[in-house]
Amino acid sequence: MKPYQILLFFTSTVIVLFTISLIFPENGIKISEDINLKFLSFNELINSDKKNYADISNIIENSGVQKDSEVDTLAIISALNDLIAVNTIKANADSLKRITHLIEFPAHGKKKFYRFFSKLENLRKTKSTMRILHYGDSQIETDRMTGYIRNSLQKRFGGSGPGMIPPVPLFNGKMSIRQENSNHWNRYTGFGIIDSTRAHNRYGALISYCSYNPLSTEKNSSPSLQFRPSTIAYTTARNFNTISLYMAKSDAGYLSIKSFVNDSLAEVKTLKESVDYYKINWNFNQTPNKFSLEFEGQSSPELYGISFDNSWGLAMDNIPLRGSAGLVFSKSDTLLLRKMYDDMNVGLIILQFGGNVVPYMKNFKHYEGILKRELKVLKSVCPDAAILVVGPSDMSIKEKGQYVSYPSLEKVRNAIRNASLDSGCAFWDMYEAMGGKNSMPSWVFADPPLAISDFVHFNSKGAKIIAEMMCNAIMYEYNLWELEGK
Amino acid sequence: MNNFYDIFIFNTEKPLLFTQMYFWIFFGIVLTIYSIIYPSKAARNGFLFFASLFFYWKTSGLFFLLLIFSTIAGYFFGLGNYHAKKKSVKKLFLAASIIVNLGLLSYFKYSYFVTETINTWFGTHFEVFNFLAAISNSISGSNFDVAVIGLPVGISFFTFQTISYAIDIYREKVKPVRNIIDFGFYVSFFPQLVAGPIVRASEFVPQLYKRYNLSYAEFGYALFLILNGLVKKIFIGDYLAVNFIDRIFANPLSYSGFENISALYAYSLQVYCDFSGYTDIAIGIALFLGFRLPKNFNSPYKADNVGNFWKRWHISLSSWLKDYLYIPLGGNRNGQFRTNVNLMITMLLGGLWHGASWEFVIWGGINGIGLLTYKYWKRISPYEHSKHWLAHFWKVFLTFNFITFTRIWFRSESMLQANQFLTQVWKSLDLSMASDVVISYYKVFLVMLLGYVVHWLPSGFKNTYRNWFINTSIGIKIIITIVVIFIIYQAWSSDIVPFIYFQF
Repeated sequence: MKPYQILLFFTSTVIVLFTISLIFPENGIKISEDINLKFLSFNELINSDKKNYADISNIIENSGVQKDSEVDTLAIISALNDLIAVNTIKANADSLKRITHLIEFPAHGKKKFYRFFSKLENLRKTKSTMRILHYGDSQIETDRMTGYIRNSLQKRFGGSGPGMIPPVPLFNGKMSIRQENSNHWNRYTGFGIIDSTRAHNRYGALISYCSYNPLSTEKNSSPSLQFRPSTIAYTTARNFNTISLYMAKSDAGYLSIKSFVNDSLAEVKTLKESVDYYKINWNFNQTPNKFSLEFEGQSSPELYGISFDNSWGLAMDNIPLRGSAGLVFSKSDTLLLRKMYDDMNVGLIILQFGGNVVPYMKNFKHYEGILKRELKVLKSVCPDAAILVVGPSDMSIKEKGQYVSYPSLEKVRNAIRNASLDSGCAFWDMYEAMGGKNSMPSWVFADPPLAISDFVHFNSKGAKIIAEMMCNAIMYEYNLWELEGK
Repeated sequence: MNNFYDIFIFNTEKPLLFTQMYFWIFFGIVLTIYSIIYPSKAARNGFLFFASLFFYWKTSGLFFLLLIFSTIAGYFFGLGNYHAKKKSVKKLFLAASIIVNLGLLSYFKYSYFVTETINTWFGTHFEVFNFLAAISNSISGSNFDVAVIGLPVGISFFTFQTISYAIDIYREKVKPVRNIIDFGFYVSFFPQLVAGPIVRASEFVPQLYKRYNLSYAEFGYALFLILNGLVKKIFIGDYLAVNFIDRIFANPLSYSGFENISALYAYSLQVYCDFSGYTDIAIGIALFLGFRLPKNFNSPYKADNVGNFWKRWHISLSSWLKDYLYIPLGGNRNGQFRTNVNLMITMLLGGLWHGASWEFVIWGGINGIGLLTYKYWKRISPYEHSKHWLAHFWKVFLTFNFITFTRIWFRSESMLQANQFLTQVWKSLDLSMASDVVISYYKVFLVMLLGYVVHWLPSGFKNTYRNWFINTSIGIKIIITIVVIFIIYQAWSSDIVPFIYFQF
C-alpha cells in the first residue's frame, strides 16, 4: 500500500459519509420507542463546531470561592457593603447586579424579609436563636449548598452547628456531621416512595421520620444513634453545645432514652405516656466528641429530627427531598408541622425545587396552581417566616451531540416564579443567575468542572459558587434594609 | 475569512483529539501532502516534524515552544554525550539531559503538588509562582498570569522519551540522530505525542532512515486498530463515564454502596477503553504513515497476577520504568530487601507519574504491595502451577478485582472522595436495590457487559475476526468503516441517561 492509496480509501469513506449525511432524515429513523437512529445532517456537519453555550466567565471571575478551602464570603459581602456605603444604590445598580443576581419580590412582599433581617441583626445582641430551613431536591443533598450559606451567615450573625438532621439519614448523610445508627431503624419519607402501610402522615419538619419495631429488638442490642462532629465540615458546623431531639410516642408503653457523651452515660429520660410531640434538650459546655442515644422499652418513638446548634445565634437546616417537586407540605400533618416550626423559631424558609418537574411537566398552569396551594399551606403553618422560592438550575438534554436546555425549563421556571410572587413569596432565579439558556454545559465543561455529567447537578465546587451567589443575593437585600428599610 | 484564520489559531475548545472531527480533517490534509512527498525521506521527516509541531500548537498553544526547547536540549546533549571521550563528561551530558527534562516535568506538573504538600505538612501558605511567565512578561511584555502554571499536554510522554534517548546513547545502545529535524520528529511524532505509547529511540530512530513500506495486511491491521480504538473510546469509555461513572464519583454520598461499586467496575473498563483505545488509534495512524509503534496494551484484565498485569498494561511505561528506574536503582541485584525497596520506589514514582496527587502515589503503592505479596504468595500457593481452568479463573478473578480495587484512588479526585466511596461500600452497600439499579441503568450495564465480554474473549477468536477483517477487500473495509462510524455516532449523540433514584 502507498500513502496515496490510503488517501484514496480515506477520501472514498468521507465521500460516502458525506452522501449519507445529505440524504439521512434530519430527525433520524425511529426503530422503536427507545431507539432512534441518527446521523449528522449536512447543516450540522457544516456548523458542527458551533456550540452556543452560555458564557460564565464573569460568574467564575466574580466568585470568591477558593479551591477546596473555606470561602470567605464575608469579603464579598463586605465589598458589597462598601459599594453600597460609598455610593447611592440606584446609581450603582448595574455594577451591583453584575456581582449578584437579585431576588425578585412581590409588590408588597418585603415586609417579612425585613422582620427576618431584624431578627438576624439582633441575634448577637439578644443572644436569641433563629432557624433558616433550606428545603430542596437532590441539588442540595449532602449539605453541599446549604453548608456554604450556613457557614457564611453564622460567621457574620453568630451561631454554629450543622442544624437539624434526620436521626437516620439516607445512606451516610451529610458532610457537616458524622452519624451512625444501629440497624433496627426504618426511615419513612413523605416524598419519593411513600410507605403506604404507615397509618399516618406525621412526617414533621424534615418530611421524614424514623422508628423501629420494638418486638424485633434483642436484649443485647438496643436501637441506637451516634453522632460526631465532622472533621470535613465548615468550622462553624463543627461546634455545637445544644442538642435537641424532636419526637413523638404514639402509645403508652415504657420508653427509656439513654444519652451518652463520649461513651459515658450522661442522662436517662423515661417516657411512659403517649405524646404527640415532644422535644428533649441536652446542653453542654463544649462540643462533645461523640454523642449517642440508646432506646429501650416496649414502645418505639417516631423521631422527626435531631438538631446540633449553638445556644444562641443562627441555625440553618439542610432538608433535601430527593426526587421531589416540593409538593409535600399539604400531604403532611399540618398540626405537627406548625408545632415544630413554632418550636424551631423559623425566620426564613428557602424552597429550591423544580428540577424534577422539568423533564416531565406538560401542564405548567396546573403546576403553578398546585405550587400556590403548597405555599398557602406553608404560610398557614409558619405564618411569621419569610419564604424565598428558588427556581431550578439550567438542565440539558442532548440533541445530536450538542447539549441544549430542556425546552420546558423556562416554562417551569415561569410557573414557579408566578406561583411565588402571586403567593407573596420572594423568588430567586437560579437558572438566570447561573447564566441562563444553555449555561449548564458551561458549568460541566469548566476547568475545573463545576457540574456533573448528568447536566443537572452541580458538583461540590459548583454548588459552592451557586450557594455563594444565593447568599450574596440575600445579603444584598439585607444591606439595602440596613440602609433604607429599617 | 475567520474560518481560515481559525485553522491556525490555538483554541482550547478545538484540540486535535482523535475523537474530534478537527483531527480527522487535519489528518486528511497531512495524508494528502504526505502522499506526494513520502518518497523523499528528508522531506517526509521534515514534513511530519512540522505537522507534529502544528498539531501540538493546536493542542497546547504556546507550550509548543517548550517542546522545541526540549528537542534542542535533548539533541545537543545527546550529541555531546556521544562524542565525549571521558566517562565523566558523558555523565555530565546525561545528567544535564535528565535534569532539564525532569526539571520541566517537575515544574509544570508537580509545582502545585509540592506546594500543597509543604503547606499541609508545615502549615505554611506558599503559593505557586510561575517565574517563567514572569521572565517572559518582563522581557517581551507578554501578559501571562504569574499565579498559574499550566500543564502542557503530553509533557509526561515527551520528557520520558527524551530521557530514554539520553540514557540509551550513554549506554551505547543507540547512536545519535543525524540531524535535529529527525530528532524533533522522534520526540514530537503527533500520533503518540499526547498519550503514548512511549517510544524508545532504539525502536523508532532506525525507521527514520527506512523507505515507506506498508503491506495490505498492515494497512488492514492499522484500520482495525483505529476503528477498534474509536469504539473503545467513544462507544464504551465515554458513554460509561458520562452516563454513570462521573456522576457517582462526583458525589459518592448520594448513592448506595452498590451504585458506587458498580461505578468502580464501570470505571475499570472505562479507563482501559479510554487509554488503550487512544493508543490503538495512535498506533494505527502511525502505521498508515509507515511507522511502527510498540504495542501498549495486551488484554490486561486477562492477567493472572499483578506482575503479569503490569506486563500487559501500558507496556511502554512499565518497560520504561523497569529499564530507566528500577534497574538503575539496583533492580534485584542487591538482595531481597533492596529489591523490594526498589520495587516499591518504582511503583510509587510510577503512580506519581500518572498524576500529581497523593491519590496516585497511594494507587502506585497499593500496586507495589500487590506485586510484593504475589512474589511471596506464589512460593506457597497450592495452585500456582495448576493448569486447571478453575485455578486460572480464580487467579484472573482475583487479579482483576485487586486492580479494580486500586482504581478507587486512581479515579478519586481527593482523599475525601476516596474515603466517601469506601464509607458507602462499607456502610451502605444496600444490595436490596441492586436489581432496580441494573434494570433502570440497563443500557449502561449492557455496554459494560459487552465491553468485559469482548475483553475476555479468547485471543484465538479475536485473532480470527481481526484476520478476517484484515483480509477483506477495500470495498468491504469501506462499508465496515462506515457502519462502525455510524454506530459510534449513535453512542456519541445518544440522549443523556436521566438521573434515577432508588431510595429516598
